[in-house]
Formats: sequence, C-alpha cells, structure tokens
Amino acid sequence: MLMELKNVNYIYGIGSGYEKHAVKNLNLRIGPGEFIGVVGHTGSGKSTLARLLNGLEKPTSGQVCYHGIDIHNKDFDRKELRSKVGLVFQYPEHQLFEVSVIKDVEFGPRNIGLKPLEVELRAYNALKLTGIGEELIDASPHALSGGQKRRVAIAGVLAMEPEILILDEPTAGLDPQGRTEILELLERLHQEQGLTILLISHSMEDVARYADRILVMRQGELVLDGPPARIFRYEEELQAIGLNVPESIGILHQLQKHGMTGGEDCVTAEEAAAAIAAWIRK
Amino acid sequence: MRPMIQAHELAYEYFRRDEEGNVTEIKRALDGISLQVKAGDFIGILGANGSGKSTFARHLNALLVPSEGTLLVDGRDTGKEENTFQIRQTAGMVFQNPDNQIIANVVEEDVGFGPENLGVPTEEIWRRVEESLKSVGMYAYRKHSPNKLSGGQKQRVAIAGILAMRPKCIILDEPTAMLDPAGRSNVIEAMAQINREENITVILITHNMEEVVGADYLYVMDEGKIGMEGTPRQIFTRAEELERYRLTLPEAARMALLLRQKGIPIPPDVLDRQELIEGILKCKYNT
Amino acid sequence: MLRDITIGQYYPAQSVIHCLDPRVKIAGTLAYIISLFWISNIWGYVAAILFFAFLVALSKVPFSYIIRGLKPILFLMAFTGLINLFQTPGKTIWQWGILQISENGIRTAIFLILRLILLVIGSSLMTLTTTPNQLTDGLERLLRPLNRVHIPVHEVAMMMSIALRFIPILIEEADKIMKAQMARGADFESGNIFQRLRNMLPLLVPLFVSAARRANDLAYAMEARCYCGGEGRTKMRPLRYSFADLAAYSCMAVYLILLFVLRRW
Repeated sequence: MLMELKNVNYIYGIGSGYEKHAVKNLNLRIGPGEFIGVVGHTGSGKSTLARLLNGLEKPTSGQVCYHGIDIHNKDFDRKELRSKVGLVFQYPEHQLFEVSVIKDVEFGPRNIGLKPLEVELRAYNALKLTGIGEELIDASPHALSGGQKRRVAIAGVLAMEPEILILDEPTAGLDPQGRTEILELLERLHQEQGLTILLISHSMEDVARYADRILVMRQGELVLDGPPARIFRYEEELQAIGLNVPESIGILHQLQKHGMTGGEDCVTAEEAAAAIAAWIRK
Repeated sequence: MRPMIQAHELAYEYFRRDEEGNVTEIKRALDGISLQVKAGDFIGILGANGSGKSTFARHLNALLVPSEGTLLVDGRDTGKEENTFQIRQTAGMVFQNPDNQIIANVVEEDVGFGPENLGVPTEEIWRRVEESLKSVGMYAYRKHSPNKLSGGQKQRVAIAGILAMRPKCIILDEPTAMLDPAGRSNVIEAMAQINREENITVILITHNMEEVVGADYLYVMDEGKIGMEGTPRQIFTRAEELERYRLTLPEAARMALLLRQKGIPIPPDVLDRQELIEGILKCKYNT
Repeated sequence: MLRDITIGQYYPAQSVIHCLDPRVKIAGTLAYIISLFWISNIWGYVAAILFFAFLVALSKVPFSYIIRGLKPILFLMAFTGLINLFQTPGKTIWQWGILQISENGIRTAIFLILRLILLVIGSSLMTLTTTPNQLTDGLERLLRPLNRVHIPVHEVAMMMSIALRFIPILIEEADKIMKAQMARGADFESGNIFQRLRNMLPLLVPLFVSAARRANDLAYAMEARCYCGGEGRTKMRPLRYSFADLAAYSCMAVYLILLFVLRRW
C-alpha cells in the first residue's frame, strides 16, 4: 500500500473552547496509480485529510503509514515525506514569492537539498509538464494570468517529483476553460507519469469524469467509498448531506423513474446521453 | 420608462508602466460597449477571466470612469464627479472576495455602514438593517462576528449591506467564485428573490452558466467587447460560439446538444432539467 | 501557535457594566489607574480592592476569567517584587551574604505587586466588558477636540476598528501560507537568526502581497458604499449618556474622594 490511515482521529483546539473533531475514525488505503476524488462540504474534514497525509498535522490518535511505516515514528524523515506526498493548497498561487517563475518552482527541489543542476532540470521539466511556455519562465509570477499562476504553483510541487499528488480545490475561482485545463493536466499526469492523485473538491462534476474512485466525507467521517458509478446510486443519501450527483446523472435517474431502462453504469454526460439515446430508439 | 443603465461606445484604457514609470503599453480593457438595461431586469454578464467584465462592473458604480463614450446610470452621467455619490447609492456593488468587503466586527454594524455614510438618521438605520438582514435570511446572525460565518453567509451579509442603502440596482461581481455549491445557490436564490419581490435591477457577473439560466437577458464579453447577447434561450443554442469565448453550456443544455448530435430531435433551446426531461419523454412516447 | 494570540478579548454578558457608555469606562479606567499611584497606605489598597471587587461583581465576568489576564505578566511581577524585596534599605530583619530583607522591603514589594495586579486586571475589566467597536467609538468621541488641531480622529478610529477585524484573518492566512511552504520543504525552525530571517521570506512576501490585495479590495468596497470620511456621517449607535452613566461617574467620584481622605489618614 502506498498510504494507509488506520483509525485516525484528529481533534483541533483541544481545551480552547472551540474544540473540533475534524476527522473521525478514518480508515483508508491508497494504492499506487489510483486517481481518487474526495468530495464533501466545507468543514467535512477533507482538507484536514490532506494535511494528515503529508504529515503537516499529527493525528490525535491512530496511524498514518507511508509504504507501511508510521510517518510519526521518531526516526521517520518527514521532510522527505513532504516531497514524496506533494500537497497543493487551495489558491496555491497565493504562495508564490520568488522574483521569477523558474526560481519559484525551484524552491521545493532546493529545499530537499538536490544539486543545482538537478534542481534546474526538475523545475524545467515540471513547467513543461504543466504547459508553461519557455517565454514565461523568467517572468515575475505576479505578472501571469490566474490560470497560469495556478499551473506554476502546481509545477512547484511537481518539481519535487512526488509519488502522490494531493490537490485541495485546484479549480476554485477559474473560468470553465481554465477548470478543464487543470483537470486535463491532472489526467495527463496520472496516465503518462503514473502519478497517484487525490483530488479534493466540492464539485461532483469535476471529480466524476476523472477519478476512478470517490470518497464522500461528512463531518469528519468517511461515509461512501467506491467507483463513481456506484457512488451515484446513492443520490438521496448524497442530497441529504448537501451534495449532488452530476446534473447529467441526475437527469438519468429522473428518467429512470419515468420508466427508462439501462444506463446504470454511466458516469459522464456523454455516457448518459448515449444511454438515453439508446433507450429512446428501443 | 428611463433605462437603468445606458452605455454608449464605452471604452476604458489604462497604461502599463515599467520600473522607471515610462508608459510601455496602452491596454484597452473595454472597447466600444453599447448596451441598455431596463429597470427591474435580471441581467447576466458572462465572460472568461480577463474578458473585461469586472472592469465594466466597476464603471457601473463609478469606481472607474470611461476614457471614451458615456455611461448613464439611472440617467446620471458617471463621468461627472458631482454624480458619484448618487450613483453609488443607486447602483450598489457586491464583490468577489467575501472577506475583503466586510468592514465592521459585528454583522448588523456592517449592514449599517452604508446608511451611516449616507447620513441616514439612527432609528431609520436600525429599521433598514433589520429589513435587509431579513430579506437575505441572515437576521438570526445579526450579533455574530463575520469571521465566524461561512463564505455564502458573508456574501449575503454583503448583499444586505447594499440593500440597506436602498439602491435601485445591484451589481454583483463574481459573488460566487469563492463559494461552495451550497453557498452559491443560497446567494443566487437570495438575489433572484430580491429582484422579483423588491423590483431591484440585478446585474450578475459570472462565468458559471447555471447561475444565469433564469436571467432576462445575457451579454457575453470577450476582450473588452460584447461578443454575444440575447436571452438565455438564444445564447445557449450557440454552443460553439460560447466555447470560443472559453465558456461552456449549462449541463441540461449540453445534454440536449449531445442528444441532438446522436440524432434525437430534442428542441435546440432547452434551458433546464425539467424542459429536457419533457423533451426526451416526448421523443420516446409521442413518436 | 499563531492562533493563540488574542487581541481585544471581549466577554459577552448582560450586565450594568457592559451597558455603560464606553466613555464612562475609558475615563473610569484612566482615573482608576491614576488613583493606584496615589495610594500611600494599606487602607488605600483595601479601598481600591473593594471597589474593584464591587465592579467585578456587577460585571458578571467570572473572577477566574479576569485572573487569567495576569498570566503573561507573572514573570514581571516576580521580578519587580524580588528586586524591591532585596534592594530596599531599612531595618534589616534577615540577611544572607549581600542579600538582605528589610521591613520596608517587604512592604514596598507587596504594595508594588498589588499595584501591578490592580493595574492589569483593572484595565482588562474594560476590554472584557466593551466590544472593540464601542471602544473605538468612545475614543473617537473623547478625542474629538483633537480634530481642531487637525488630527484625523475619525480616520484613526476607523483604522483601529478595521485592524481589529483583519488581524484574525491575517493570522489564519499566515498559518496557511506557512503550512503550504512547509509542504514544499521550507524550514522555519532551524538555523541562526539571519538564516531564519531569510527563511521567513517565503512566508512574508505572500503575506504582504495578500495584505496589499485585501487593502485594495477593501478600499474599493468602502468607496462603493459611499464612504468619504467622517463628515456627514450618522451613527448607528450614537453615544448618549444615560442615568446609569451619570450614576457610574458619581460612584467613581465617591471612590476618588474616599481615597483622598484615606491618604491623609
């Protein structure tokens, strides 16, 4: 197993009066090469999950294991872990600070203590992967457009060459095209680089098309875990916790109530449309 | 009746300067915008990031003034400085970031900020604060600190803060971009209700198509110009053009398009889920 | 760590003290602090303590809550106490090497510590019972005469109140940026002072950029809501003295007169 959470609890602000049980009895196994979507409301514990996975937060009880080893063991190198478990925060462009794009991307690899040549090489590669052109690498990161900034910030994490990439709402605030670009970048990284991806989002639509497994969280608990088509069968349960299946699947479900047959395994709008067309022609 | 907004050949230019302060580039953020908004309408302005829609929004509130052309808000020219105060009271503005527009440390005091600036008498301020908070459904939170509210709640407080100034028109500049789906629909519903019940003109700037399905009229902006305009029904039948402007169809309209591409005769101007399902059932059972 | 900082702490309750006009509380606190330096004998302290206990009882703020405010100055109290204990000359009652304690020393040390305690908890009673907004309102009103010498009192008060609102937001943001840079391998905890300062850049630059962006947004938002300084503004909560406020002023006056009498005793 690449990563495993065993009975993890996380409570913050103990004794401060606004104590919060952010993650409850979480058991989770993440295998290499998976593309996992994590869906939940604000405050469902999904961001805390991300921080637990790369050791930024320590569980109040339970274990977080990386390749079978507890990351909070005394002699475990957590700095090394943070490069292996790459975490892209919400609005990551707000963390850009260097004078040029390339320098900012080099920050991560430099911190791991790589040789200058290796640092530069990795930064170039990461920028190429995220589709930032040569002409931009010496520009100030603050002069870029919103979508470009975000890709530079993702490159900054990719340059550490992580085994698993965790992204917290990577499409927030972008326009539709910008959103698609980021999501397609993730799919490319998953397919071509074999990167394990954990995509945190409050949009089922974003997650459905790309993930092969979806986790649904509610108030710190993992309530559903499975492939998208199976998760979507729980439409009523999802609605009860303020989440929705993608609109196209919702349409499909409503048609099924009107006597439609077939289309149980649909995940995307294209698949749903094909199933509906097939049914109409029947 | 006098239109709420009248823009004629509106243009806005700004200079980019290098480190020594020399002008390196003149950027035309708005380029020949002409439009009219009827009082009481719900208008959507769509466009990708950088299309100029926020710049246009700031003109409506006289935070920016046109370099060329004219803009009349409720008949007042925004280019004349003596009108600024009146225009800002007539056309209130809600911004994108919920944190950066709340000024006071208590919800009710923030809502009172606008009326205080207008010099409204104390008792009248309290009446307006109560009414405004009730109409956005935030009255129960009037004593709370804004820091303890969710993003959607903060945006509704911001809307109440504008309502308390008794505007004729509210401009919302991507108010939902930083919200989760629940907060998003709460804000949009609150605005639709205010538009309906209080007959306040609403201009909603967004790149989320689902939010403007119910609008009266839409404008699509691109590179400082108006690229498309029409009712939602008209706009959403032009999928390819929308894509060129980096936008997508609302899901129901997209499904309808996918079905048509497969040879199913769904009408081309489907707006929402209800219409789509009716169309599909008609295809199945009536033919 | 960063989140532990609390500024302008307020204890919500419905009490006579909470309802007083902020001007009364500011002026009263000031008078009380000055009165502490006036006291010269034990009876004065007894009066000051009793008066304070009376105010605490009225305020409905738990006593333990008030005492908590002393924690940060424990060290200072111990330090000044000890210095005075050993360094005050007078009739020696205990001696060990160069260390000697005099009767005078004990007295001065006790009085000094008492004065410090009353000073801190006395002023904390004001912040505990007055919201930051009321405080700035009160200050603005009390300092209004300074307007005549062209000190922008309203603007300064507005700045204070905005700062109070944004401090928690910026603290949270600093925490988030710090975590995000740590996820990129940044190290904020090791190295000498210069290395540490340099290591803070990845935190400070984004924090400044963000603060500037927020300031810019806020300026737009305030302008859009017709803000143009203090002139022509009305108040949502205009400050008006009530009967309770006058009674409070009288109480304060009685306390001061009493102290004055006790001083001569």
